[in-house]
Order: sequence, then structure tokens, then C-alpha cells
Amino acid sequence: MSSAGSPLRHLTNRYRRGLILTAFLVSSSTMILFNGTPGVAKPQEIGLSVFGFLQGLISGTVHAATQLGGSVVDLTDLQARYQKAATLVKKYEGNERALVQLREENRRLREQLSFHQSLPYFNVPVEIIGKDPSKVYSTFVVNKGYLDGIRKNLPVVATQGGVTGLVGKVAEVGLSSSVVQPILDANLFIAARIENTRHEGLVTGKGNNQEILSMSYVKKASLTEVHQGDLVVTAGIDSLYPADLLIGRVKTITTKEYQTSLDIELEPILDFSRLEYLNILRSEP
Amino acid sequence: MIRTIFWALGILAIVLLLQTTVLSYFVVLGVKADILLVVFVILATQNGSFASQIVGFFLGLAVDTVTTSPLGYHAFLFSLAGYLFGLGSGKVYFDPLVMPVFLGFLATAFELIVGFLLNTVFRLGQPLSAYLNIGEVFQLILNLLLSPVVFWFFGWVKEKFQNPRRGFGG
Repeated sequence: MSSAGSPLRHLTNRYRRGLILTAFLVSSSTMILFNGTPGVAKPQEIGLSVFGFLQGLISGTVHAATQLGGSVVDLTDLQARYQKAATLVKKYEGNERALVQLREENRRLREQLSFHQSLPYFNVPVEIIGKDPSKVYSTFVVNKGYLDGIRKNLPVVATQGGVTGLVGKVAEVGLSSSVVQPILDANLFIAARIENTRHEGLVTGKGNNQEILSMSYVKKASLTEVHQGDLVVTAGIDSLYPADLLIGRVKTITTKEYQTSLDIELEPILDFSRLEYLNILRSEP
Repeated sequence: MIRTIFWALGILAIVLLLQTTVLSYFVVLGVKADILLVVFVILATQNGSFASQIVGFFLGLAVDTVTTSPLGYHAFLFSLAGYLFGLGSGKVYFDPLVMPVFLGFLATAFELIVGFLLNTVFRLGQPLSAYLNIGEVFQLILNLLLSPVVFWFFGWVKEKFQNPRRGFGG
């Protein structure tokens, strides 16, 4: 004796695997389609908060272990240096060496102080605790979030070898972690200008972690004025990024007869593979 | 079945966390190996389509939360990969070298092709150069080298923990 629903149940059981796959693919596609709408963005923020916390834990543990290992090495190194210094102290009279060290330290501190004071924005120092696992997107996860006053679209900078350059912007904010979208990302567009000639253009990344940027919409008339090695800075006209933040240097300039603008390739001012600490800029404390 | 899904999700969550933190600093020739993908595919070939598509969907959602990719992008990619690679479960003989390397190749190619198709269909704005560049070749090579090691490791773990040898006492 069979019920009326039996053939349907039989079919469902038979194609259960395919039906579930279809459901997953349809829901994934729907989420992609409605990407950015509040209902879809919320789970992403919650997920980021959870994963960001775990990433912070792992990153912190690894950092602590590295520091411990480094401390042991430093201690051994210090011991050797101490012996050497003791010999030197005996050899040289006076404190010339200490004076030189103090002068150097003083110079560095002055440099840092002037950098800090020169920034017209309040900056929140953050540490990178995770990097994008996928190939196409090239984001960083940093260890501060909503609770630390970080908000979406805030500009992010970093200092390397005394040079401060633009890293990108805050793309997503979790409770205690945030995702930074770097300028290498193909979906991030920045209004920029050549520093010395003041010609404007639009800078974007090429995706896939390629440390090369592309600057387009620069007027063809500027061809004779723009040269390899010229600095490119933020234009400050899109209200997201402050003006005159360093972005990169002109690497190659190409021009096509049928185009009215130049295609310029830039080398980023920062080495993105060596970034560890960033500064998120805020206009309020 | 549920136990298999939870085990796989647990392992992959750990791999995801490690890949985004510790392993993201191991960069060879400017690229990093996609360990998550390799581990996922190897688990899929062991667990079958049904479990792997479920695992893939939730793993993909987790990946989407730590990237700026649109929510659903990796969920689509991994659930489809789980289904397709899971079809090989119990049907293919896995030697320790050739098949893992072949799987590593297929998985990397699959991720690139499906990623590119999703990008095109949903107009996600990534340029073609993001999918077609010399870095992809390096990553493919890295994934191929990594696949037999990961396969061997999971085989060893499975043998050690799931099928413990029993003595005469049963």
C-alpha cells in the first residue's frame, strides 16, 4: 500500500545530492547578486568578528613565540656585545661612542616626532593579523575594529624607511578587527595626480597581489611633462583620502594613437609584502 | 555523515586560520600555495559528493567573511568543487604521487576557471589579468608540489585515528 507522495519522495531521495547542490548554488548566486545590501552584509560582519578574533589569537601566539625566540637570540647576542663593549671601554677613554649613539637616537626621535605632528589626522596604529586566503582578492585583516573607533572607508597609510604612503581603505569593520582593501585591489579606485605636473588621473590595482598599479585618464597632452620616476600622490578630491599622500612612482608610460589619455604603470611607494603595522586615519580623535 | 561533515569543517577551519595568519608569510616567488584548496579537494575525494558540497558551502561562506569578495563567491566555488571532486570518491585508485598531483592541477584550474566565470557573469569587476598571469603558473606548480604531501599527511592521520589496529582481543 503506497501513499500518493511516494513517487515524489522516491524522486527526492534519488536526486537528493543534486537538489542540495542546486540549493547551495542558487543561494550563493543570490548572495552575490544582493551583495552590499544590509541583509547580506550583516552575516559577513559577524563572520569577520569571529574569524578576526581567532586570527588575532593565532597571530598573537605566533608573534609571542617569535619574540621569545628572538629574545633568546638577542640575549646571546647581547652577551657577546657586552664582552665586546667591555673590551672597548677599556680600550677607549671617554664616552665618544655613547655620544654618537645618543645623537643618532635623538635624530630618529626628532624625525618620528615631526612625522607624528605633520599628520593633520588622528591615526590609529594597527597590526596585520591575517592576509587574504584567496588569489584574486588581496586584503589584510587588522587587529582593531568598531570598538576602537574604526569605521568603513577610512584611509589607511603605512610608513616604510621614513616614507609614508597610502595602503588603501577600510573595507569591512568587525567588532575588534577590520578588513583593509589595499590599493593593489582591482576594485579600488583612487583619484590621484602626478606630484610635479599636477595632472590628474585614476589609480587602480591589477588584482591578484601584483605589486603594480595602473593610472588612467591622464591627458595625452601631458606626455612631454610626465617622466619615469615621477611621484604620484592622492588628489584629495574624492573626500575619502587626504590630498598629497604618496601612492607610487611612474614606471612606464604608454600611449595609443586612438586614445585621448595615457596609460601609466606605477610602482607602489610601499613594499606590500613587508607590511606589518599600518595607521588608520581619522578626522576626529 | 554528520560526524564526517563536522570533522571536515573543523579541519578546514583550522587550515583557513593557519593560511590567513602563519602560512600567509611563506611566499615563494611572490605567490603562496593554496593549501586550503588542496586540503579541501583531498578531503572531498575521501568523503564523497554529498558531505563535501555541504562542507564546501559553509567553508566558502567562512572564506567570504575574511575577504572582500562578495558573500557567496567562495561558497559557490567550494560547494561546486565539493560536489565534483566528491564524485571521484571510491571510484579512483589513489596512488601516493600521480593522482594527488593530478588533483592539485584540476583543483587550481577549476578555481581559476569557475572564478573567472563568476566574475564575468556577476560582473564583479576583476580584470582578466587577475586570473591570467605568471603568478598563477607559479601557484599551480606550488600546489602540485604540495598535493602529495598533504595527501600523504591526511592518509597518515586517517590511518592513525580512524582505523586503529586492534589486537587479538578485538
